Amino acid sequence: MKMRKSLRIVLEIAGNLFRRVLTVRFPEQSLELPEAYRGEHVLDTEKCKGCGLCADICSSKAIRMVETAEGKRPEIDASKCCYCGLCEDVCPANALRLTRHLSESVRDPSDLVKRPKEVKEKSK
Amino acid sequence: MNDQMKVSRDPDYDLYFGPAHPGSGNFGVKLKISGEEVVEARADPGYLHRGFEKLMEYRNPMQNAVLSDRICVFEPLNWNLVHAEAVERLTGKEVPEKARWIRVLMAELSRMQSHLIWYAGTCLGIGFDTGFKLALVYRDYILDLFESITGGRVYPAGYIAPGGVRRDLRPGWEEKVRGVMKKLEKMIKFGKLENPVLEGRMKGVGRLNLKNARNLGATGPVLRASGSKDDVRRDVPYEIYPELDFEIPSEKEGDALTRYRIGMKEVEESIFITEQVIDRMPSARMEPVKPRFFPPMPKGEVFVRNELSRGEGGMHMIGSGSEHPYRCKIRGPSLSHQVPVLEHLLKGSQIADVPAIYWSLNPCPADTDR
Repeated sequence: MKMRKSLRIVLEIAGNLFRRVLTVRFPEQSLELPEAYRGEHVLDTEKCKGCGLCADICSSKAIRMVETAEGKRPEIDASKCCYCGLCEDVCPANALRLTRHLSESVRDPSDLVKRPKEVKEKSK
Repeated sequence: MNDQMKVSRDPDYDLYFGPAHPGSGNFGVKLKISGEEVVEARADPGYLHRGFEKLMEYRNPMQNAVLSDRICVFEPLNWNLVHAEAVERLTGKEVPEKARWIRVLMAELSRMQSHLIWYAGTCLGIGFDTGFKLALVYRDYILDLFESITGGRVYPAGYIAPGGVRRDLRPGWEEKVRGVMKKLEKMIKFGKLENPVLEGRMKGVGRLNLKNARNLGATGPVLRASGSKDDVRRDVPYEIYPELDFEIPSEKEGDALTRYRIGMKEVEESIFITEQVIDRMPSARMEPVKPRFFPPMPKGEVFVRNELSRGEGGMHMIGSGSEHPYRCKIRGPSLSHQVPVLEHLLKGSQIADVPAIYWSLNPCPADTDR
């Protein structure tokens, strides 16, 4: 009985040599994030009308409307954002979207405040 | 054993079963010890107080739905449901039929992963590392499901919002959920094994009889392990629970091992409920809830209670004619478990039994402190 148990353990360990590894070598490889994932923001500054509904609904007060050449546009502070997606749902022009990109780490906290132009360029 | 023991020794020293996250969560218990025996225990809550009830008074219902995730980090979707039901009952909002089925599916999945954390915490507290790691592995499969449905592994950002749910289910969800249920059956098989480690540490420890359980305010699995069959899903049914067929596990011994066994049986029942929901879910497309228009909340008050994985969770909401609720009182099931029940059970126990008793009550410091 003991021999059979030890044999089963040995066979299971040997079988593990041929099983797929569950980890990936980040950052060269990455896990596939699902479509529904709520990641970094992306803004289409042409579709945006500057209504300010996204700034009103944000419960973390992470969005601030700033003046740009095209009119008022949202500036998003990624350090306050909780990635809930209410700003994406409320936008009447479907201009603000949450993508599957993960926020990058930065050395300077002020780099976490995403200005409207930067947010637009990332979408290209 | 704890009920009959009269502790008459004077304490020699104080020991703080402290608020360190891997040991006891963010909750401290001050113990007065004489030799190896606990003479007196005082619970020390408040380390995780974030002022939710006040924060909710300054936000509209959609923002509060996002906030309600974080009332208890172990079961965000269940708290989303309590909040959504409170707002709907106060404002009279209708919920589409498919949304009700999706809500119950998410609530039961959340109950399963919360019980797996309970199992993992218990094993961590008593030193059974294999059980801890296995439970968290199987929980990860459920978290991957949450990520594909709601967008977030732990926090679904108010997925269950007043008026329905924020997104419809994507095609292919059935196979994913069935696959995870099949994997969980392996976990149940492991959990039901007669484990000498768990029996040695938890059998006969922390015995709570039915009379004390009711007097001290225990609900949920803690009460059902002492002989009661109370369950809000049966007594005051909500959502589509009246149409589902499920058993309420209940046992009489009331010790820590019985509470653990009830937890495993509840995971099995939840798997059975989930399979019924998958078979009977309406297939029509559904309009998701969008945060577009907030009428003022009518004057009035409601109290809603749901069966959470830890016990009976409630929300008392008072509307006063503005967009924000006037008062939103949250009744967490863990407050009764972590303060009166814990202090009662720890008196007269040995130091080595303290983690086993603490974790067998399925504590959540987050919904004690809010």
